[in-house]
Amino acid sequence: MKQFVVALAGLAALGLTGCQKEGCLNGEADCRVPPPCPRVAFTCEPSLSELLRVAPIDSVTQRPGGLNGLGTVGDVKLSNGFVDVVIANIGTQNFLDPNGGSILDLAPHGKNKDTVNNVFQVVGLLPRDAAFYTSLEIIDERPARVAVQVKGTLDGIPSVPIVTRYELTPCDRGVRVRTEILNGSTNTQTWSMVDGFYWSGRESLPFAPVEGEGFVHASFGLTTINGAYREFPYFAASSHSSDEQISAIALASCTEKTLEGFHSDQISAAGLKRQVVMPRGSLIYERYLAVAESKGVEGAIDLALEIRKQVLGEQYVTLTGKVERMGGASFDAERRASVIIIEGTLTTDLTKRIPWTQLVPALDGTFSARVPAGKSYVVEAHAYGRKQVEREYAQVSGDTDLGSFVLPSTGSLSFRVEEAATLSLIDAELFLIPVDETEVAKVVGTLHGRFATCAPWLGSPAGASPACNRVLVHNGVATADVPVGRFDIYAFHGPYWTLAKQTVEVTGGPQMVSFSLRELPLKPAGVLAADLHVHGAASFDSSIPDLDRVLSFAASDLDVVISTDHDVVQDYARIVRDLGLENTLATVVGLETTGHIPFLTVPGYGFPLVIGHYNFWPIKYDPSLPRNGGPYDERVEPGQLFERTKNLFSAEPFIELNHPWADPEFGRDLGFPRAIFMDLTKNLPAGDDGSRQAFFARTPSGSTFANNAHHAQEVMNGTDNGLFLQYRAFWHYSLSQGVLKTGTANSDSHSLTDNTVGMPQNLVTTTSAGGPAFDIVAFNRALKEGRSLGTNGPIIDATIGGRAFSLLPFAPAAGATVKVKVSSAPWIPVEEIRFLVNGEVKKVIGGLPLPADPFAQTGSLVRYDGEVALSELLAGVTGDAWLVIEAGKPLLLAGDLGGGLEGAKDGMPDTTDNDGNGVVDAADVKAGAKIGPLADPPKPKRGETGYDFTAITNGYPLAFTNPFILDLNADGVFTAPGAKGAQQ
Amino acid sequence: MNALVLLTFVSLGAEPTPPLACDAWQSKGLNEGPAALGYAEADVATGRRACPRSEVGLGARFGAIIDTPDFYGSVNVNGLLYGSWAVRSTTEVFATLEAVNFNYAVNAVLTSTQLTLGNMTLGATQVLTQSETFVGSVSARLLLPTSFEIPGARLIGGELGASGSWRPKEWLEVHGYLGGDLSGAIGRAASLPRGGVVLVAGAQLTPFKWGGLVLDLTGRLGPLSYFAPTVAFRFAIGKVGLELAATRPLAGTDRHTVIGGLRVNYRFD
Repeated sequence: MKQFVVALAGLAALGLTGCQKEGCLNGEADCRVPPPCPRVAFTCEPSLSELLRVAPIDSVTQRPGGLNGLGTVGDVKLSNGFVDVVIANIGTQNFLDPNGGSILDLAPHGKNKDTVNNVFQVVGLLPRDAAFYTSLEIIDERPARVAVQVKGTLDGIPSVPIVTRYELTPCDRGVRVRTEILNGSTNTQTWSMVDGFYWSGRESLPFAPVEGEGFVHASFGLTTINGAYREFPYFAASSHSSDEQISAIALASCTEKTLEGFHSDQISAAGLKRQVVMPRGSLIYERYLAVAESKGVEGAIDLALEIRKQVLGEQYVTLTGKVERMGGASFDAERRASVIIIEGTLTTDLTKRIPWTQLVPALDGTFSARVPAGKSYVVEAHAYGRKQVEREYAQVSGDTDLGSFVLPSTGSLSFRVEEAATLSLIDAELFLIPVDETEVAKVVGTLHGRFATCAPWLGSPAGASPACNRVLVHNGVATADVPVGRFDIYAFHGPYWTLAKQTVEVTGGPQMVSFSLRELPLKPAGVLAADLHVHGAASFDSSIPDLDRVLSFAASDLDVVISTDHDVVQDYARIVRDLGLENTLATVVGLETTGHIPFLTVPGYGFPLVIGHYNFWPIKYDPSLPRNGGPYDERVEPGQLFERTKNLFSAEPFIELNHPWADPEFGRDLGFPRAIFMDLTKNLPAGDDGSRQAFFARTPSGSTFANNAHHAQEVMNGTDNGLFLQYRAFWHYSLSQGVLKTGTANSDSHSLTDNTVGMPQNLVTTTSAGGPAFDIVAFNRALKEGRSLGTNGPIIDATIGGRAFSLLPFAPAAGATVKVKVSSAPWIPVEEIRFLVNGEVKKVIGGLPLPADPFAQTGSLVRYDGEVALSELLAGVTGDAWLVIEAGKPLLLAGDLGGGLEGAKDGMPDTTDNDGNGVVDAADVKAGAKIGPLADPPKPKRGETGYDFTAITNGYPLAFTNPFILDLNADGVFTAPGAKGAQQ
Repeated sequence: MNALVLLTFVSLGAEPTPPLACDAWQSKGLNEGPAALGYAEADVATGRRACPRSEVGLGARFGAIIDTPDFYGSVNVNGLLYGSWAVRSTTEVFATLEAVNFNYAVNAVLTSTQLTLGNMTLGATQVLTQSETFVGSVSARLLLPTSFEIPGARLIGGELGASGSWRPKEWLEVHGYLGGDLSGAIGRAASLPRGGVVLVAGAQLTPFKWGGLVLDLTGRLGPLSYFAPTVAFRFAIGKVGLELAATRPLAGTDRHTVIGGLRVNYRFD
């Protein structure tokens, strides 16, 4: 027995101390992760070694330029002659990275082409699975290498250390990365040790060589993501914004034959295979993240294949070729030509073909790209969102010239838009719409199956003009290449101008199309047209260049625009000046806080939540600070967020609750009321009784603000008014609870395609002038008082006893009437006026005259001008009341069939009368669902009234006033009617 | 032969010696001592029986953690080979091998599985004292680095323990075990040595020669701690024994929802 014990002790001692430890897995404080990817080497001119650098950024001028450049003072920048990469400073939260240490910028060296939002390390989907780095070390071993090593633990699991080293050598075409992680917990884990790439939509698109995929990936939700995992030899991504600001990246393993992960427009994950990691188990993940200045993914994929050759001995071949266009043309733009090289033959089932690379031919049409050797390929040439030519090449074992690919001719359209009276050239937005379904079929396209489907597809829907079927006109002129076909082309300059239309047969070759627009006497004096919710390239989910973004403000003839990029403060002032718009357009610096990291738990619901989105303005813009001065907005309730933000305002603060009932995205709620499952059939509790309902109004610890201390709430969001019925219902609930918030109407535009800036908009009655004399203090105060109308065209002028609507209570005189005048442009039909008291429609004035010619430049704009007795509207009302007036198209009857927590009824309309029988019931619900759909009013067909409005907005005319707050018992206070008064 | 023995006793005029505790077990095949079902690798931190015996067996162990609020779950299934050899009446060597080790873990909706050779222990028991109703033993176990289940590491460890078995009645065994174990990883990462002390106390009721019931209480202190009752049904058919056991922690840091086991063994001696 004694010998046995001795043997045991000896073995243990040998085992526990005698093994070679790797990197930082043994936990020493001064450890160093070994240089990653030792088998990978690139060569370059010796002089380029001088450019190898690593240092903290000490001036914002060192930030890599581009659509997503975000590195700032304190972050660490590594660079060589080929690559710039910025590692977020410790303590700096960005997007899904909880505490810094992730890649914030990655771009070709010295170019304004950073298209990366964030690359971070995770082992799973939950917040606890993200790396939470707490220290950063700069390693300067020049001339051999420079590196940054970050150490920490999983977020919320301190027993799991994780260390990542980012490294550049002098000739690297990308960043070498090695992550080491040790399961120091006592739990058996499933880990998916991956890099997360946060695209977030409308940005870079991931491309992976997977059967039937390429740019198109299996769709999944949070609960089905496990089934979306694929194995792939590498993956790449490229941006699809302006031709001048895009680049590509590719990821290849330095140790494994394949990577495993999933891809979507929102996020990619790529790394080690999912595996069981027992306590004391460790993983090492080494990879090379290549960067290339290419417009397709091929530049980065060429590097990935070179890495695989060096690591695995895998051979590649180079394919060359040329695209040409009938009638001649230049290329060097993805919309003009894009070539995809796909493993397979023309007889191979599409689901079995493997796309290996994609490229954008050079200006003269020539191209080259690497692909694995020894395979058969189909080469597809695409243009304007459609496959034009495909050809097969069998068993390509050596470098091959693919020959020429001849594309069909296109029209080259020049546009001119002028003001009718003065003939001055104006900014505008053009919409091209095929004249019928046959024409649609000829030109409908997508960007290799991604983003929106457009007809015609003139360019990436997410990017610069032309985007999708839209073209921005600056100073009256624009050009665009357009596929052959017959189109209605609309010229738009905001809802208070005429709309012009030309039907054009595009035959190939140059054509000129001219439009004449006239401003209509619709916008009242003393009113500013404002869009309070707009995104541009600074947002993680937008890649429209700043110039196009600002031009779109002018195209919609807005007076005021608040920049509300997600999590990042943005200032458009310089672009406004560059475009010469400073005398007509005021842009205000703001941001939209956007919860990424779920943390909040509410009674009865097991999943952690985020608090949704809030707009703040005016905010101090300081690019030397993280997020350009935006607040750290994670893991706090709204009131705490308001507290964090209060010192960031530059003037009169304004806070807006955005899209309060929008659908969650990837498990992240977009609106606080929906996140906490508010029940609109119940009143707000008097205090914090711990219920979900109480979360809305409670004042969280450490805050002087209540969670509902916002000043306004979006009632209309988006050009199609998609969830108007729900946003309106919550606003009405809020008013009926005495929580008086201004209702607003915003586009929430992220591109030229998703929503049109200024549609809808707010007409704010303010003492502030527009242009250089704009006064944000006066503007915000007017908004806080509810002196604004939300509209996508109709104008409602309503007064009671000469008093306009606002959130200030007043006692109307006996026998008072509501004077109402509704007017609109000829192309914006207003069919009815609705009077809502305490949320209930009390009166509808229908049958309003419809303009005969939507393109008329003269004629009456008034659709109704009359009075309604207030007593008629208040029949049956016993206490104080609020009154809102709406005008536009009739809405569908809607009801609440469930939709709350565990399917309970929550007072929120979720289903419309879809069978048209006058009752909202189970028969209206889509097969297989429990509630819904919540449909919009039927869209008019070509030739029907309102068709032209719908053609360019995909929505319906609508306007609403802010409420008249009626102190009917004249006691000097507004006594809210309560939830019963707000029921729909 | 029996007649010859009887003749010898009679001729010597001596009384027959009562059997010692280990020899007084009711049935050859029936297992004895604490239920052989634990929370750690192979048979680590399970109560070792006090009496040596020679046997071979096959077993299966199933453990599950279902922690829905934490979006976590895991399942571990082992196919066991085990055996012991009573070198002499007071000494036994024994071994347990997780011949098949299957792990499944869920992290939110991500899942993975693993099938490997599992852990193996090799140990010995020495009886220190024995009377007609009581036997006291010490045992030692080595956890050998046979398993491939830990990425980048092999597990090694050992355990020392003392067992006691009190058999006041033919149908009752009161048993106990006190052990201390230590394990750590051999590999590229930190060893993360972890130890623990386990105390098992329980009883086996054997109303029939063919079957009995074991009720144990186990307490363990260490990074993984638990206080857990274990129930086991034991059956015997000749020299074949069968044990069906289950346990779940009532307190401590261990997160198991339930652990179950089935063992079938054949006794040689």
